[in-house]
Amino acid sequence: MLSPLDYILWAIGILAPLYVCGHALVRGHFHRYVALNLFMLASALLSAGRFVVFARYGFTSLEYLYFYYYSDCLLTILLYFSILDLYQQVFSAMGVARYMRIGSILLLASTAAISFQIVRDHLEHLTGRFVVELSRNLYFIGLVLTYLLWFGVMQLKESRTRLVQLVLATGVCFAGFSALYAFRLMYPGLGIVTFLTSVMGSFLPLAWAYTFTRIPEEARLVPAWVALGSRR
Amino acid sequence: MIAILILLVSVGALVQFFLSYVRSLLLASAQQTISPLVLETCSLDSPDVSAGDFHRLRLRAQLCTNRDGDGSALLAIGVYFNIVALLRLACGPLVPQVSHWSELQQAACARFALAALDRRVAIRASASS
Repeated sequence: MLSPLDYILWAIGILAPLYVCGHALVRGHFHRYVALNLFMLASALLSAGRFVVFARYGFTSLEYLYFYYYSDCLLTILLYFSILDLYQQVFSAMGVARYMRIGSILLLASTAAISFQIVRDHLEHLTGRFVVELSRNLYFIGLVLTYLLWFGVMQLKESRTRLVQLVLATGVCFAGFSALYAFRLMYPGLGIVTFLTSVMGSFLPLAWAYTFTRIPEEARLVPAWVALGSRR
Repeated sequence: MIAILILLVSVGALVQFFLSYVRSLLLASAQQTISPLVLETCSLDSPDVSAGDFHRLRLRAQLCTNRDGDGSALLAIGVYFNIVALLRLACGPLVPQVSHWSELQQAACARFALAALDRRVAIRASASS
């Protein structure tokens, strides 16, 4: 049984990403952040798809469970490419885009291969186990990549406020999902984890919507002031 | 064992990213100018507000119906304000620097609430004109 708050979070999960895409189209920066916008579009469509499956089969049905984890895997891969989009923005002056594309695809393939190695002995529901394992590993890889990107932002003194906020919000999302997956592994079937997953799912579109709406492209800040050790 | 390790690393990174994210919101809002009308309405002489003004300003911003899509940011700032308050309560009496730093942070939170209120009032004014 879902509470009204769950429905509200679900609605946010559909409407906020649509707003981000619509805003990007109206303002003409859809191509500038193409991977981020594609992730938002997929997020809205898959959230709506989840709601349809939920309404038809129920929250605890096998159909919903499969749809949830398969769509989550797809979204994780798209979010992974969003991080690479941010990498290209931060390191654009260095001209390393080609190497980053090759490296990212190799990293994704290695993660998929390792995930398959972990689950290959489970002949029953092999594909289902694989997508869950891949999502879990990609969230952690994404977290490490975002951390490295944040380190790069600090080192290069990247001052674009919009970019800094996009990176930090993505870091919150990857870290949150990674923690929730680890928590679910330790305590399977805990209700609060499902609720927190919905909260975390709503955070990223809301944070990106705020950044694209409120922070102009030309806004600048000193990244060192954002760091926790700063006295400001 | 691996799950515990991943959980610890992830929670540590989550705290760090979240606090840095909120600080980036605070820094961005500090550059916003506040209209004299809002300063007068809030009985303020200047935009330099103190930590004690936060709850009053946030309440006023929440009462303003024109949200401007910053409700979630205001919520995040509220969480940050409470984290800093807890830190001040725990470490402030022992380390004076922490007390001073947390005073600055909470004042920045109050400044964010004032900026949110200013934006909402501006939207309302432009909608009614």
